[in-house]
Amino acid sequence: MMLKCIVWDLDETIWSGALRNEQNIELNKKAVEIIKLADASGIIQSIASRNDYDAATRLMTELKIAHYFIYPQIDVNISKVSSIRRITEHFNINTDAVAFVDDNPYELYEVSRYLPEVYTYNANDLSLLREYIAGLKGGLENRRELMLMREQRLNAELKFKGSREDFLKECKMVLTVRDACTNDLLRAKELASRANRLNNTRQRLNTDEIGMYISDSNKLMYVCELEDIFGSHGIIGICLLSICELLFIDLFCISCRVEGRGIGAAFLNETLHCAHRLNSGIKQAVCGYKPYEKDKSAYLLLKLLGFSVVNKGTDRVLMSSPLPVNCITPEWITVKMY
Amino acid sequence: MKEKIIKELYEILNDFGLANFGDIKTDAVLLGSGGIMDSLSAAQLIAGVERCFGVDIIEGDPDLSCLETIDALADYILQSERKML
Repeated sequence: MMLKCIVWDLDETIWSGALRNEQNIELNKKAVEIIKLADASGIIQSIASRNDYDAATRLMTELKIAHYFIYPQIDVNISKVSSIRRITEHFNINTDAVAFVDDNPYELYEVSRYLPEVYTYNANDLSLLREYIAGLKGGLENRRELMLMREQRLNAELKFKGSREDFLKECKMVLTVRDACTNDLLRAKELASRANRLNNTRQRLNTDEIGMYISDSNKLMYVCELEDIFGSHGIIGICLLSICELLFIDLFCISCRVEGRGIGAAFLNETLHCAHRLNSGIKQAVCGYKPYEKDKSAYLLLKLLGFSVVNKGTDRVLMSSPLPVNCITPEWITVKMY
Repeated sequence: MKEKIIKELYEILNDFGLANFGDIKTDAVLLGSGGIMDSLSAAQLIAGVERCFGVDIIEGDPDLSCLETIDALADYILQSERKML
């Protein structure tokens, strides 16, 4: 299980009592403990509640918990199933990375019926959820801040009056591509564990396996960091390469937080150019791709870079491109190489 | 027929925010050099086309040339629908 998001109910879950009764509202201490633990472990959190939006968000602010939740879905007319679907689509995550907490057996049943991949927890017994979160290691502690930056960008995009290209240029994106160092290993492992969509093989490597790409002279490892007008996003991509007669892309993973801006193509484009400059005798790059029914983003990224399918197996596709790759980085991204 | 397909394509693009910008013409480059889509948004569009039209772009057009413009994509969907009849 790789939990990326917890969706909480409000009445009789995060707080005891019901908002519409306007009495006896008290925070559920066990729920709040888990909310804080999840936040510190890099799990994003949202709300699915059949309540009045303004009243609920006002109370959440008064109780000093509103800041833990992003993209809350609070509407008396929307089912929890629909709310969870909206939340997963908004965050670009799959339903099997979501936990849902509610006190109401009907709501829990309905979610498990229509979204069977979602992990459901009764608010009256959160021990297993707490145990899972307490056992997590190495999560991005500031993930909520990073997701809030993403919300800022999405809201700015909605309000922008002009072309999409103009908006992207206004974001002033700077992508720094550099050799990885040992300090990057924990974050690299987290990316390899979490990224599903922009991940060519979805191999879940540990820090020792990733570390080999730093220490082995026949291997290369690059990371990329992104900054824009919304702030610094930290390391958002890794690329692991092996060098022999060909240049093998063993693994690439890019965070979905930075979707929609051509970052993946810019990073891999620069990485392949760097690797080729160091090994100019190599004329071909090869990349394995594990087809993923739920999403084709990694395949499309390779196609954008100019890779073509050379071999198609039942669970693995081999793609290849001549070097140097023939891909142009979008002009709204400034790439710096260190 | 093609106009109806184009209208539905704009609705799909709108679903993931790409059509918020009013100037996406039917001949604007979607995927490719200078295109407005990247791999993730292209994946969303392909999934949307599959859902709405039952057309599998990756299988039918592995070079993805139909994703060059909205016009090209509408033509591709129309051709695929005619083959299915």
